Amino acid sequence: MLNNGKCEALQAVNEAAFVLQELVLYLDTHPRCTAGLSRYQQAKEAYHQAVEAYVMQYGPLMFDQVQADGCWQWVETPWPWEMED
Amino acid sequence: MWSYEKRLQYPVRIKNPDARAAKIIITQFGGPDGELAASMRYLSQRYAMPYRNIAGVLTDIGTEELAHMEMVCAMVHQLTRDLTIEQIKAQGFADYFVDHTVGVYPVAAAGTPFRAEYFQSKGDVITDLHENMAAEQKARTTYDNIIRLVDDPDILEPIRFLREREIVHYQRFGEALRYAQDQLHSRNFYACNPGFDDCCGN
Repeated sequence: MLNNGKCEALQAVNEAAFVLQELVLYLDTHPRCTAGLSRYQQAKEAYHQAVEAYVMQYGPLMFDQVQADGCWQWVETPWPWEMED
Repeated sequence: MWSYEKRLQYPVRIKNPDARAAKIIITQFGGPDGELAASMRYLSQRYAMPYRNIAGVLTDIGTEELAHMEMVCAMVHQLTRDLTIEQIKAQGFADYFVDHTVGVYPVAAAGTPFRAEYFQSKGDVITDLHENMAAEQKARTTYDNIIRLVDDPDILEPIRFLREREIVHYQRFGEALRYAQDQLHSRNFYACNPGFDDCCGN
């Protein structure tokens, strides 16, 4: 079942994580670039916000984000190759 | 140490099973220029790197390659999961099916299982970075060929994303190589391995 809200929240995580990933690789070879460092700070924040918004509604992306109240959600939500979200 | 994030780096949603496409795409899992070899290549090379920033490039690109491997495996899985036995026979998938059913196993397109010889770890920063730049170009060529061979937009979209990542990684490895060359001892005229001694005993 395709859930539009979930898809959009995941897309926001993917996009924010992609920007962060690009900045990490760039900074590995340009470690003193001040513009890159300040964009990293912004990108990190945007990524954390997108992850938090997703996790609150749709379940954990990492095993330390499980709300351990009643069931072990980590294995209840679909795996990313299942096309169930 | 690694942690798992329960998402693909870029979405893979393939609606129509296609065993022929799966047999082509699986080469980017277990083939000579695939993502498994890429990840193992970079993560293995890190220990002999004399420069922390280059060890960082290898760690971060090697980690991203694991995410690419997961995308490729997800594509193979989605292309094969709803096949009937008639489709498996008609689409030339019986030879894979007899050994692996529709499990995902690392083979090249022609069926050769993954081999550690697909990657190198030479213990020489200059040599390894040249290897890595070539590896990114070979992977890019393979993705070009996949784009020539398949026409389902559900397949092409993630394949184009993966192809672009090869180009970005090539760029970063090129910058790492320039850094390594700039660090060479002024008497190391022939760029001998700076991780072992300064200038080959000269």
